[in-house]
Amino acid sequence: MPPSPFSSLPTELIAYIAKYLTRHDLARCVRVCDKWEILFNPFLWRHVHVSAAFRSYEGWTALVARIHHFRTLDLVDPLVAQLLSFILQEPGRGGGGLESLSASFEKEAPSLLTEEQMEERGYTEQQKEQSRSFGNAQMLMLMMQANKGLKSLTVDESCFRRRDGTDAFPYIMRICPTAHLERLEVRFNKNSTLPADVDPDSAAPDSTAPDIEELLQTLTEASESAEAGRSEYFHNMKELVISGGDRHIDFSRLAFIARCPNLERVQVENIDATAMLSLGFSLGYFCPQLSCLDWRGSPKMIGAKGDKSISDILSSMRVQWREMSLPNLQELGPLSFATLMKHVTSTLEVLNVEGWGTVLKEDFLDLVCSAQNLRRLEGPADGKMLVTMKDVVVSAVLGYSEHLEGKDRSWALGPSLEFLQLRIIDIPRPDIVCYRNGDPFTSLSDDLEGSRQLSQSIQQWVYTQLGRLTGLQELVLGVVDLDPEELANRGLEGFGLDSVAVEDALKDEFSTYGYQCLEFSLRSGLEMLEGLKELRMLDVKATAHRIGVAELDWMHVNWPKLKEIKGLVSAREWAGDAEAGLAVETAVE
Amino acid sequence: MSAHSQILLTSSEGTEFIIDRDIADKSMLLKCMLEDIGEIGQAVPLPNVSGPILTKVIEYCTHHRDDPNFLSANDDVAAEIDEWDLEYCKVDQGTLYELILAANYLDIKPLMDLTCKTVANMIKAKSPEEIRKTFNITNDFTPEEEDQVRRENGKGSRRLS
Repeated sequence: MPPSPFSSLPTELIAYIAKYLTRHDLARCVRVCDKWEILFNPFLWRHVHVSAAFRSYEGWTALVARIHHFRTLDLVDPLVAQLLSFILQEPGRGGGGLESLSASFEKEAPSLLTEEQMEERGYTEQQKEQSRSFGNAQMLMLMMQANKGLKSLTVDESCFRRRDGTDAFPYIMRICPTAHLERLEVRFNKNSTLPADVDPDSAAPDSTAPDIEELLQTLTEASESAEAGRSEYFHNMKELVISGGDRHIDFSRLAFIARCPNLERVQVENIDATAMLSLGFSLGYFCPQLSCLDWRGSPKMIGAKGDKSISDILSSMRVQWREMSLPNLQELGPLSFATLMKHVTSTLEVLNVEGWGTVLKEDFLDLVCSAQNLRRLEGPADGKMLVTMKDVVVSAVLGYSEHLEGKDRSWALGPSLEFLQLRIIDIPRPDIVCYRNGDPFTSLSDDLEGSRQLSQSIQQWVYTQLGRLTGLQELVLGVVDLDPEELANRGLEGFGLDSVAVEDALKDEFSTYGYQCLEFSLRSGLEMLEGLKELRMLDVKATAHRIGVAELDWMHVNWPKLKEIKGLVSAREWAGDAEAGLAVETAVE
Repeated sequence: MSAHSQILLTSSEGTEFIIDRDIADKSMLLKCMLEDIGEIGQAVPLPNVSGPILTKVIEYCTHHRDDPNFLSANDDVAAEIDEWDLEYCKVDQGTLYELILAANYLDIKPLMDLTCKTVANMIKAKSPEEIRKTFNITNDFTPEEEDQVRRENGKGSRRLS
């Protein structure tokens, strides 16, 4: 009996097989036979990168014949894109099934017809004008009108201007299909075909505050227009990505935000303080469902006003944040910290801050003493740290002494916490008598005997706080690896974080290593962390810990899920406790 | 729910199969059916699945009975097939297609993924002629048509063949 043919499989099951095939595989499948061409063509032509390769006669014919298979298009070549947008207007072409569209061009599309050609075709004056002015913006509009089922749209400045230089963006947003759109990504000023009208350096980024009343007026009109049925709400839009407002974003460009009532996540990148504030107000007023903010890039907020600007931005977005990710804000200070704390103490579950600016030790203590709903407290990832960044630093001696004075300094962080990245400092460590090949180490206290006792008490107080984090899965104590680029700039490439050379080179501006930290030894009270049954990863590479054989055995028994300890061995040597130093070496071996 | 309860299934030829409830639950079709109407003690007829194929399906579900990640959708397209699964799929093409149909009908996603991936691996990185040989397909394109299909479907295919 001959084997039952492949084509006995129902057509709808081919999709399950096709998803494992690459574009090249699919291109060979359609060449197998007639039947296979029909079966696999839809998958081969699902996602098309509309480049200049389709300018050839053959390429173009093939493209047009497969229009009905398109689901995802990346428009790159303005000419081919323009022709395609015309074809899609023709009834019966069967296009219009696009789910995802992205458009980004290096230049404006060329005029399709010469004056003579228009003359030959007997164009009216109005038709001629339309043809002359037809550019990327009009092309994008035609594309959108033909594809009402779009779920995702990615566009940039290269299609936001008409040929006469006027801004087409508000109009593009007005005719953008609303029914199914879930994600919108807008890149202002990327691939801009027009020269910048203002020199970005001449305009001080945070010198002007936006006229909030005027902004709200513009947005309220947009909202009312939707209310009255003249435009539609983007009911399904959950995610918005905005980037590159190098300066003030015209209010008319933000009007569409008033029609996104169900927005949940917003990502902003490289947006200056003024634009950020406009955006914040718009989101705060019209998007009550927003819960995740991902703010990226390097906002140029400097000087005394920086702190105020950040504070204003954070309070402008009057929403109940669940997740918040902030870039390295060098001016993050008392004002903005206080604003941030309002979010932290209410609904915030995930907080990721790349740099804490000028926030003080006392403030960090407040943070850990009031962040009750946090699941993750994150800083920059390994290898992303810059010298200008500052992570969460908690002073143990400060907390402990306030505790002694009768003030409640218990951490609010609790069992809900899964990830914790912070540095615990100011623990007297008389066991470190000198460090690094005999260089003297300045101890916190002159009275070493007393310090041993104090050290013990303070560490136990910290262990008590940590011991309550019974859901903790990852604990990162301290500074992570510096950005390789920064190390290279300073001639320190090739050195790891735990390197004395790096520490020396940066000692005046940035601390890469902490000596006055938790010992993590049994004699200091490690047993108090017995309840951390979920712990999978412990990172002690930036600390002068005293983890030895006995400690490793204890961890093995008490933390059943522990998979990894980072930084067991240190490049540093400290005298005064040779016994413990030897133990670590043995343990690692 | 008792782990020991057993379910009776009848294949298309009327052959009866007795399997443990937790094996039956690997099929979303059976699981939902049993949850909706309860175990009524009667055989569940599977008119779309033949006896030999059902045996093969049960073999798969039994091997993976304690697999904790059975239902956590593995959408990793590049994931490797493990050794047992690889061996399991060494069957003739007809059986493989019938397994796909059965996995689809019984709604057993991991088996569906495995069998479809196996077919995809038979296609991957092969020239059209090699694919024809593998699947015993006659080339019904005229030379002109073949040339046209080749030219129309992108540089990729031209460069790689």
